[in-house]
Amino acid sequence: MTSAGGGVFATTRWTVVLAAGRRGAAQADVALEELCRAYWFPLYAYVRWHGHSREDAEDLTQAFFARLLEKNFLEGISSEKGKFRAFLLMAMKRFLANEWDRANRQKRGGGAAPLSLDWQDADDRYQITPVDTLSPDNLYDRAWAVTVLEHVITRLRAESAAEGKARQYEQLKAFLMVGKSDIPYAQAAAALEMTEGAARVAVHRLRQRYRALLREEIAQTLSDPAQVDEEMQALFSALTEG
Amino acid sequence: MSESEASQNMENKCPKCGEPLPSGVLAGLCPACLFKQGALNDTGTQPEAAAFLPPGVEEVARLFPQLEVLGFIGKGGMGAVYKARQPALDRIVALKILPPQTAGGPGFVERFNREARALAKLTHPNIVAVHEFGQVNGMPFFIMEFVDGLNLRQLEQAGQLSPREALQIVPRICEALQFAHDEGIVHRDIKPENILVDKKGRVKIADFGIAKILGGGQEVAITETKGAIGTPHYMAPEQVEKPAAVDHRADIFSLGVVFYEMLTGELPLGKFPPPSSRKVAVDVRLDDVVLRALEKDPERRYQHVSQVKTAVDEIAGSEPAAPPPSGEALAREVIERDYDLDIGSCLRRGWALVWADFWPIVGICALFTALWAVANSAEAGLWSDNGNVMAEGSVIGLLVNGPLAGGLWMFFLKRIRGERTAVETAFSGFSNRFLHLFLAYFVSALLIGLGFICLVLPGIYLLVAWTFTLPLIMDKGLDFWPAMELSRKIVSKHWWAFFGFVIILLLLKLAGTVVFLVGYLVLAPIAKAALMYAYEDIFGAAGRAANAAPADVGPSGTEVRPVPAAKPPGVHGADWKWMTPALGLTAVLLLIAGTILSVAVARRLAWRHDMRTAAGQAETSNADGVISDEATKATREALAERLEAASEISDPFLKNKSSAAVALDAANAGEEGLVKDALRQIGALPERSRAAREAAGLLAKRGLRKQAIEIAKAIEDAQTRNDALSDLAQ
Repeated sequence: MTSAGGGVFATTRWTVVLAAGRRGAAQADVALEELCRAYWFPLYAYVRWHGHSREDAEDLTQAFFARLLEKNFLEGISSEKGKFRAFLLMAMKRFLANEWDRANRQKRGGGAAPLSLDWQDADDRYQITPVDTLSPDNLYDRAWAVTVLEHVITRLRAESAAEGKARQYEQLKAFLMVGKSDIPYAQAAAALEMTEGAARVAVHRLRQRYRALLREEIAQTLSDPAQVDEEMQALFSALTEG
Repeated sequence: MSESEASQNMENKCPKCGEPLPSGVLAGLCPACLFKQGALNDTGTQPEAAAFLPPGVEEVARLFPQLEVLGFIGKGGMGAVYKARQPALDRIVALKILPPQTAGGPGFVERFNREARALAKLTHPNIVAVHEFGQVNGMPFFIMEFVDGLNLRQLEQAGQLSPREALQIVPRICEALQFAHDEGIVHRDIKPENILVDKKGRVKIADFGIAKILGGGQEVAITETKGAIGTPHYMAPEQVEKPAAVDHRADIFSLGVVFYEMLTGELPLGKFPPPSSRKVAVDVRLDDVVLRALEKDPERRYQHVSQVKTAVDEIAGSEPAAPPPSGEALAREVIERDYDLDIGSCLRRGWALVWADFWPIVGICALFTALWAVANSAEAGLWSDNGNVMAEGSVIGLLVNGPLAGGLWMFFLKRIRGERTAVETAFSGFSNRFLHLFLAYFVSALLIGLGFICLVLPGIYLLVAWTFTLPLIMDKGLDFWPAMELSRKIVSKHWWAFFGFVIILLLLKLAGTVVFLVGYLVLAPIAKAALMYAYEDIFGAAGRAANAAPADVGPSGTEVRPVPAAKPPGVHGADWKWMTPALGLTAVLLLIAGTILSVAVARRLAWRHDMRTAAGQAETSNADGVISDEATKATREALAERLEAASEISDPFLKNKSSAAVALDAANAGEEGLVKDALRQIGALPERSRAAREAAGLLAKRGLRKQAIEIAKAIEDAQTRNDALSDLAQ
């Protein structure tokens, strides 16, 4: 089990990508592709929120990744390199503003799709995302935060299932959202047919693991793992603003 | 069991913060709450949430006893807005509450009071008025005018903003901003969310100067509460770089961003292209206006908002310098977008339209029907000699059919769009479009005729394909050939649907004709309206801005719209009051005149025909009245031919007349079998009886007494029968 402390993630995926820089190591390519595969939905949603149709948004996102993965796209971007989230958005904005209009329409996506992404699922998700008066940037951050959580929850659930604790996880997952003092341990214990003390331990472990995974997930997108708290705060306010 | 029920309920809203819950992986989990817990350590103390949680309606009601709080409207970076009523004044107001943390900082109270007082003085029809302000429980609040409508962002998302609307809205924004700038107040946060359009289309700017109250003009405040003060995209560069130096020209930049977004649907980010290169429908001259408003250096921008207004008004007011849109561009636009032809919906809406304004529409159509009848038959009556009245195209008809139809289509289109119409609208084809309407009608009639002659199918194809030619000439200002091509291209895309549609419309008109003219007069307008709804659905806003006269701000989406609920102004107003009966009367008179004219023409021709036949017959008889075998045979054949011809006459009056003539001639010739046939063909009883009596007399004269009595006996009318029999007895 990894602890949430700093220093453990000295090499995050994003640092690998950045460190590789213009040399273009294979390891960096893999890391970048993994990151893109994990966080393409917020980008897709951002493009949709900009008023592009579903097909256009799919093409644009795909074309964007094609460029990102094939070229030394990183070189031009000096600032915003610290956070993968900010970097992706910035790159996408540049792409939308500069590249898209120049690129001719047939070349969209560059023929072969670099990533195989589930567009149907993306469109469904986009449709259910509440669209309100927020700006696309804000909505992008929000979608990002939700995507982060999805990864974390998926991993948490898979880990629980691997330990044979799937049912326990389902019972306890709601406690991830409430403060420690508000957890009805007695009720949880009764539902799981264990002692209250055992329930306490189970809840505590789940919460600890959840936090660790969340920090780890966020850290993967940062060049400096010390920024985790800052990034976490930014994502939290993206979720609560508006 | 209760556990699963509880989790069922939890799937909709987070029980803690009330946010809607996502589905999928995070089913039943609230992202915000998850994150909040994730960011904490169980050992640490929980810090106060940074985000502003708006107080609930009950709490607001408690805080504002003088108001009747009706509901929560929305929450943005600037605080929360509630709908409320002031019972004493019986007026609906909007209550805006700012987050308590904004109230901190040095000199806030003084600044807040100073700014709010200045805002309360801003009275302008395009500015949301501030009625009251103050602080409750440390939360600054404003009581403002309530605007029942949508903001530009919502309009944009609803697809109801087109360049045309932008040209209507921007000058209003300019007026409001100029007014405020004259009072020394800079908005500082112009963005689509702050520009409201009420249900009557009036533009109102909200949140004047609030950015200043919140930010206090300090850089720290802006960067610290990122997102709370203005979205960076709409901010002028100097607002970020040196906020202390911000003046009214920052608003001009923000307005430029909003304008650009309204025209193109996108933000001017990075090296952005001029608006007209993003959208065909944007007037090229607007590029300069937008780009100048978006100058990074305030010195190079417009110096006053009124200059923007003047420039926009000039462009909106004048006909575009660009030539009318080419048919090809329009076709590309429409075909690229594709369309659905919902025949049922078109017919339903056509029906509703005609029903809603029955007399004006039916009256105009009746008038046109009459005009067509007159134009197409008068000519034939004067020049044609062969008795084929309607089939021969007349010169006058050829000349006016196109313009008449074009005007009528335009009349329907304007009705559908809820624009003002008058009788003149229906005659607007007799304008500068006359030549193209005439040519379109002439050429298509020629080619369709040709298509019918060489195999029927090309004729049918062209007939359907050129359905929209005349409306396109009128509405989009196309020349006749591009209009025909465009119509053909568009219709061909869903040809079978259109074929069905045209057949249905034809059947509708035919059904109307069966119930004689009355049915036709009602059903034909419905068919026409249905076709124009289809036109509007397909062409919609495409390229409209270029040619049509600007109308009031209104929705102009390209999707199928429901039946227009709002009636155009003045439909039942004073100008239509006397017009309706007058129109109806004129139509009826013209119809009668047309009918009489055509009947007269037909009768004259039939008479001529009779004379010729009679003359020919006389030649076949010899001097002493004895008919040779050969002559008898020829006469019989001629009579049979005439009888057959008479049976094909559709007009009952003429048919009776001709049949009676044949009966008498047959009696004269002694052909009693033909007499009986001819008599049978006479529809009206009195005429039949009269003809039978005369025929019986003629037969008797020829010595065919037995046959004469037989015919006289068959007379249905007792009085005539007796008279005939007594005649014969003498």
